[in-house]
Amino acid sequence: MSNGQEFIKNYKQGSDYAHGFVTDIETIDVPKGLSKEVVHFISKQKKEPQWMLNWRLKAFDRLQSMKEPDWQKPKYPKINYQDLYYYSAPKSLTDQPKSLDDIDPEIRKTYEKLGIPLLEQKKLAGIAVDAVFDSVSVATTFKDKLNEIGVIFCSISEATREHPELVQKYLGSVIPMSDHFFATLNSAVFTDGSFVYIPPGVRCPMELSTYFRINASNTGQFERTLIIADKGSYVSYLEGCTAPMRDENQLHAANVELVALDDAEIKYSTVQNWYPGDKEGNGGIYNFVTKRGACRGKNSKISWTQVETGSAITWKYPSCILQGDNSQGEFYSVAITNNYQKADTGTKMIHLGKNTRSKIISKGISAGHADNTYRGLVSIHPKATGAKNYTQCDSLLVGNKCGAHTIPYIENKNSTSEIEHEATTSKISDDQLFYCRQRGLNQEESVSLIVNGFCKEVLQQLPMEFAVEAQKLVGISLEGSVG
Amino acid sequence: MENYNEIKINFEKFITTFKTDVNDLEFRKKSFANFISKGFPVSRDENWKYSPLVQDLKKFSQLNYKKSGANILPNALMENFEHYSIIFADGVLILTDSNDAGLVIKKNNSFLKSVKKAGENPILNLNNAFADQGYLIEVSSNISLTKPIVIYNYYSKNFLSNFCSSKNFILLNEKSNVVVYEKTIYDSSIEYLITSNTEIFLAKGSKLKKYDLNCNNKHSTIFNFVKANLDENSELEYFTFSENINSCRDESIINLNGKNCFADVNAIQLLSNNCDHEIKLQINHNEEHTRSSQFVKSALYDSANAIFQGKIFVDSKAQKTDGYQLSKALLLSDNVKFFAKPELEIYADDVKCSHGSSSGSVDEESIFYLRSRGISKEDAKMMMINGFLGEVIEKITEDKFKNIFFKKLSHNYNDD
Repeated sequence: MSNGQEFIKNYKQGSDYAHGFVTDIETIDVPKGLSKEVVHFISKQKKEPQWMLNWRLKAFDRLQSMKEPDWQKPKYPKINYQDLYYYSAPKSLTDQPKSLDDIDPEIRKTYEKLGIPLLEQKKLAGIAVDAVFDSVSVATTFKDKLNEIGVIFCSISEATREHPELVQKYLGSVIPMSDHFFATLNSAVFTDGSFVYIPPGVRCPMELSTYFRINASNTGQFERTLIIADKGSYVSYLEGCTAPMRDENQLHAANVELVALDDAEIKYSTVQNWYPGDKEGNGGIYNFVTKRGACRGKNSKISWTQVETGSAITWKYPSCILQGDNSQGEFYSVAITNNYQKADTGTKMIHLGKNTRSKIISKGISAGHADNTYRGLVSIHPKATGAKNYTQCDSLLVGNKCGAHTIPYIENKNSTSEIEHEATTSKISDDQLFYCRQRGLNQEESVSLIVNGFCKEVLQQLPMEFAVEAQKLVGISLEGSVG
Repeated sequence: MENYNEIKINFEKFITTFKTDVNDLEFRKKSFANFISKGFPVSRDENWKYSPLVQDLKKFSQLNYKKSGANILPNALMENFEHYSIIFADGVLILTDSNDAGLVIKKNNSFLKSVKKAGENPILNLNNAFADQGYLIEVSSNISLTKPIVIYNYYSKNFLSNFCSSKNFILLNEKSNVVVYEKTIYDSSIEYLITSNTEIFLAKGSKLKKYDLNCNNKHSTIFNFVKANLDENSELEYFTFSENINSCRDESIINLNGKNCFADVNAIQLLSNNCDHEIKLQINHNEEHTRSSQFVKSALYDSANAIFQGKIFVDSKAQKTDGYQLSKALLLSDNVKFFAKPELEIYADDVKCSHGSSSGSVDEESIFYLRSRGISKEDAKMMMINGFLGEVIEKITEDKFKNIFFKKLSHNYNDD
């Protein structure tokens, strides 16, 4: 049985949230609250160079004069930022593990439960994994193999020490330090995350993957990921996330920056399955993430694929800034909300270069009392001659207590460009259900089948390993929403 | 926060000269207080994000209210077919009362009637505070008017004040039927602010066809607000043709409150020079089995700027809703801008809602096709644009008005 299947099996047996267990390990926490001392503490824990600390402090200063945005559709109770822990690390990790065998067996067990191929011995279909536990990157597998071809895949803390020139050059270049409240918060207190650099002309031979897990309670997870694809390179990157079940809402505010130079391609896939809260809408993760990619070079391409099934509130817009001529941006998204989950997600495609192209396919599924919003911007600037965009957003409603909303912003400032946008909203028709039932499928299997068909265009974009998981996840997320 | 001292003085002066009853006065004061608390809209406000008015309203540090101007409509502007007429000249209402049975046209003195939900809209609050002119049209049950009602809005060169507000009502009783044609001509060269607020009530089985023509505004800042409430089996056909209109927001809210009612809203934006025109349209499906359709086309020349914000809202009890929205724009010059925000907000599952939006330039292959048949490039382009916009005019169900608008379209090209 593959890890993916096991993961699904566990999920089904638990019938609720299979990743809801808490790992009992000793952790070091910083004192609660957001302050300069905490920023100093995090930086010290990470053994960061002075420039990195200065950068954080600058972000912290800017944060003081910023306000949380409030234009989003899902409203949430005010977050008390002084009541959060900004750093939590398993104690046994204070001395970085020398090899994989040094990792705390408890943590290893956690990842085994999650189905993460942490141990190289397992060598699951050649996926290199960087696993982030609360605030610390636990281990990165396949490092040697990647080193051989010059690919740098490590935690961002390691990168600030080992490759400062790259981090300094690119960190904050796509998401400026004080872009908005959550991005600035992340810049000040980010803890860990992945760093990827693909040298010119290299096609990364395996999928790179990060697994995020929030374990400690009352902790915010603020990871930062930076991926740079140098000229003519290619990388496919996967991201997965889980968290234990807790009554309180936990904040996850990550920043992900992608940079694609001439002729480079980055494919970024996410299966987001943070704890969504219980059936009454208590608890769950606030997933407020800033993801942005810059197609800096000519003919570069960035493709975002996301399957969003978890989190109490998902609020993110993975975006592409198409600077290079002929560059391409793609966004494929499936967002499923059930019970009291809320999602406000979509993308921004900013066309700056000539002949830039973008494609947006968004599928929103709303069940129970959930609210699902697609919000997207397509902006064609005056110099983007010959730019093209195609957008399709479809929504599916299951039940009449949920909502599905589409809010696209279209800005066209160039007469040679073409923008097409279409959106539909519908429900699972009785005819479709009847057809499936007639062939011996039960109600839930039928719904899962129909919904999978509805999402097919997006699921196809996922790498194989993920696609199978995602398909099952789609079905599971909707359990209990019909009948 | 800006200082609205001069506008406050303007308002004090207005309420001392404008004779009205206590209730109305209270309402005006409250509306004005609402306006002051929010001030003129800012682009940070989601509802006003792209609006040209945000910049242009800053010009009005005072709102000079004075009845003045032409008080007469040039004969050349009168339509030559038989009709009932309502004439606004420089914001002052000149009425032609009807003697026909079943139709009441009169000055709207009961301004209070629309107290209901002035809401958050600051300009609507401003209108509620200052409105002193307006018409009321009431059509009795089972009456189908044979002649259309024509409303003329004329702003002459002699217009002296910089502000006027009107508040109008159109009320169709059960199973009545009427065509209203509203024509607005701007001839003034002064920068002034015009706000109009029209409320439409369609009772069971009634049918209103409203065609609006707005032409050539260079200097004024305009806010037109229309709110329509549709009861069971009623129908609203609403067409707007905006030609070279600068600094204007046409905002409509259409409430589909009864079963089987239908709103068909169509609009054309034909803009050149530095015109800046915004259409904001919200259709609320509040009841089962309601239908709506929005069809908007824009053709933009020179450095024109067009904005379309359309929204379909479906309440959780409005099952079997059929909502459709399409906006298309032709960008005919390098400096034009087109912004669209076609929104869906849906809370019912058994619905069929879709929207589409596209923008681009004239299809080169089609131009090539026409040219290969001996048509000049200019003519070919005109034919394309004509056909593009003509599709919206085709939706007009009254032939007489279809022809008027087609004529308007071809006339426009002859000018070029």
